[in-house]
Amino acid sequence: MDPEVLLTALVLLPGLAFLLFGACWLFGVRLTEKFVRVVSAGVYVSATVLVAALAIVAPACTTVSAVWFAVGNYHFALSLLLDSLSLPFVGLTVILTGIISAFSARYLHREAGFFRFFVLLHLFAFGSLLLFTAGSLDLLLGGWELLGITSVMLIGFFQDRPSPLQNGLRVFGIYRTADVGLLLAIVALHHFAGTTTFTELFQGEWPRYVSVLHGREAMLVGILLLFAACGKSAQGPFSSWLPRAMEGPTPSSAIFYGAISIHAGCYMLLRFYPLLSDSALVMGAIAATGVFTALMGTMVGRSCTDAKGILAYASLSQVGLIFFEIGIGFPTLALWHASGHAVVRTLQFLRAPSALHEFHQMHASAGGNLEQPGTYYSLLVPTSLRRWFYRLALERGYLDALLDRFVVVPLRNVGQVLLMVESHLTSAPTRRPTPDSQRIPAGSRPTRSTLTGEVDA
Amino acid sequence: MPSLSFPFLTVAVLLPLAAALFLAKIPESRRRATALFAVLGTAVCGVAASLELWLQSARSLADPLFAASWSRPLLSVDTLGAFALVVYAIVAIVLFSSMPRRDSTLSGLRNHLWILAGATLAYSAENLLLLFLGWVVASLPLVIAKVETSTGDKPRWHFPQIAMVSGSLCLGIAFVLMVTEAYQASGVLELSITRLAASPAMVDHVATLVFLMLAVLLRKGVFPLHSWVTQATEQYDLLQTIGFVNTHLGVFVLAKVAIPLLPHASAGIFHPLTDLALITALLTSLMAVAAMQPRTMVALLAASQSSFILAGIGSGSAEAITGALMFWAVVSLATTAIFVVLRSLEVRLSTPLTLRDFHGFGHHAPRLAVFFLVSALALVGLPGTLGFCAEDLLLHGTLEAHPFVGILLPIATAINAISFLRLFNRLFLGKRGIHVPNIADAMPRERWALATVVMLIILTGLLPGTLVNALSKAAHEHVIETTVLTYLHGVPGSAGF
Repeated sequence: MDPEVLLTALVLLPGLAFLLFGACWLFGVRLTEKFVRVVSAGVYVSATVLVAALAIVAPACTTVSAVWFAVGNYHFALSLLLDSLSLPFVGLTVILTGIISAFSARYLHREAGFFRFFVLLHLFAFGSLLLFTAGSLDLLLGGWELLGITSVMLIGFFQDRPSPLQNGLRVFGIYRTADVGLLLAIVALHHFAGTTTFTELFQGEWPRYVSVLHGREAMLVGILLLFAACGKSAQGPFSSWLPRAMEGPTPSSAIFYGAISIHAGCYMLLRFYPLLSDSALVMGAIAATGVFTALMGTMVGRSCTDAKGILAYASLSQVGLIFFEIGIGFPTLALWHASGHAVVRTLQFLRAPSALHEFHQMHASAGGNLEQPGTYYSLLVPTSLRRWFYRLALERGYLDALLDRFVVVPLRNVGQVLLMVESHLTSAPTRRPTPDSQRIPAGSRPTRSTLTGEVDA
Repeated sequence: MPSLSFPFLTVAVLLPLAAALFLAKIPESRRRATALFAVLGTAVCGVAASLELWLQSARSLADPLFAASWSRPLLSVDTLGAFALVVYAIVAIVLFSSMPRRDSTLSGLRNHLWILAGATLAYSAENLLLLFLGWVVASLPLVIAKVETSTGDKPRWHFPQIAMVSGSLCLGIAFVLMVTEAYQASGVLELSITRLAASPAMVDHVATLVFLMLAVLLRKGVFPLHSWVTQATEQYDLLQTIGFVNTHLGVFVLAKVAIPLLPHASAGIFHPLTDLALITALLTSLMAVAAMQPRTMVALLAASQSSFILAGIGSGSAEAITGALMFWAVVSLATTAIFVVLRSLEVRLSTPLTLRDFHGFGHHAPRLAVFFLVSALALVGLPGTLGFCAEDLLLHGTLEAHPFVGILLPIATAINAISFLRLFNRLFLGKRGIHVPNIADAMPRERWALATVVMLIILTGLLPGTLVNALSKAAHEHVIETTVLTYLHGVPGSAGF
């Protein structure tokens, strides 16, 4: 059994399932729930077998390489890499996605978007496997973006309500903003090192890589990668998107924000650990971001009143701790932490609906006197300070408000001004009244919703 | 110059021209079929000429019809022209086959045919006069378009018409200056682009370049002359506008004429050209954030993304120019699909579309929704589509020569992606309002046309090798060799810029 063939087959399996379902839909072939369930099960069982085979037969570092396209001195290499870092993530992806697939077949039974969910799930799985087995940052970007798109599509799954759609757009905006950092990092790596292929950037095996880049170049690339990782893993100033993402169905919340997608940023930082560790500034920034997010996540989570919100902030805190572990120089610990967290959080998300029911039963059994854990410690904090923290927690750290005030509203105002100026300038020479389509009607400025306090998207 | 085995190019130009001229004499029930036949014939001839060029591995092939009798060809096909012919053939077929019935009036069909004839003539022109004629013919529908004001006043000149007439005038003046300079130097009246490019008497004249660049900027819709694209989309026939915009004649003239004939001067304006293209991309992307009408938004987004084509050409590197040409293909195909879907929605409704509410059209038209989404995401570089490869090449190629591009390009693309998703959400998702009628999903003619476009975008995105090789060759022939040779070896008799 050639490990390279196994690795290629593993990555392509969910992609082929996605293409099969997509083609059936395009040509009007109606697929039954049973067919979808069986095919999905077959894909993930096969993928699990492939992962197990790779774990047994693959050498410490397996690579597959081909040139996708080339122009002049530049070529885009399609290279896959399986080593001690990517194997755990690949295994988690395959096993957890298989579990989610089986769970969703029943959870979403007779749901209007059943087929759509599974199409997106397979695309997500393909994107994840591509991300975790990418042998270059260029290819990692491909998986990264697929993860983002599928995440946003699933947040807006219940499209009959406006809030999932608005939240999905907000999440997409944060993803794309953070992805700019990743794109610039790719360009910087090409400029400084002439390559983004991991086997050329790093010598040795993970985690005992040695990076070919040092000094300011490594610091610049590190900062850009941290920016991108914060966006994907909801860290630091980007953490406001995670609770919004809870609008999607529970299985997608589990696999995305409990297990795989939320750890994509951690994976990227672990992959580039030797380069990041070259700069104390970058490592300090990673650790500080992690600590800030962990503390904020814990605090805000204690003010949440819905189960998935609490779980979202709990995920945030744990990923913050993982960032901290990376920042203080414990990459292997971070890897173990991420793996364990993915499994536990997936379970918690899947059990969230049942857990609520059980909590109510326990509460009733205790005569309504069920004490919330940690109450004793919170009473140690002075009342005025506790109230201030509570307010901060209720407003989710004011991150949304800051984002709206300093990014969203100014951007939209600039756009409106530009539109108005242009319409007046182009109307003047022709002495034509401004068409109705170009007039900005009264009340079109972004309004703050009186119910949610959010800017109308 | 070797010749084609059959006058494919002449037939490709004459078919839509003849159809446009004689369409009025054909019974109304057969007009659409006649126009479609002309389009298909043009497409087949264009593809055949391109295939023959590829099979013969020639640099260019002349159309044999007039070459033999006049000893110099009037029409020819090279790699750039072949690429443009094939891409526009696909665009034209999609537009004609998915055109709503209410747009298939005599004037509507005729305008589409004029644009096709003009573009085909321009792409295959071997001399400046025919290229100019093609440019003017393609612009005719936009220039003579009548827009009724809401008060029913007589139609006035509008900015798109002013822009097109000005652009045509500038191009004409530039060509006259080129021909005059060559005549003064050699005493021979030479119109052939190939011979002018090879002539040592060709001088880089500032005035010629200024007029040529004005024509390119006006036609391409580059800041500060970009507003006509938005206005034309808002007020004129939607499909005609995108058919016209997707001829990309401004970029074509830049690559085919400006760079080979004015190498020193062109090299000097690459950086300012790229800067202007980037400013256009960023400004229009910001304006799209605030747009509340679907037509305005798609026009701004199309203008923003298509500016990258010029930014890539202006960089001068092999990767960037190849990326720019790939972007040309992505922009042409994806914007055509987006505009077709938007027009399909408009004709299904009796009230104007706005972006204030969620319309929920995806419930009843899921195929239209998917076609729209995939095309929009391909335009902003979704992995697995041609847009991803194009953007990758563009980014890597431009950053070395123009670092500003490397920073602004991802920012503008990110903003455009958010705007596209917002547009998609508002049009296709959400609960369908009571006032919104049930609409039909994509009809077979729309479905097959759009499915073909989407599959092309995905297939070429997954297997881009052949396209990349072909476009790399075109990039070398038209841009890189000229500029590299100019700088390395110099061109005798040419003035420095």
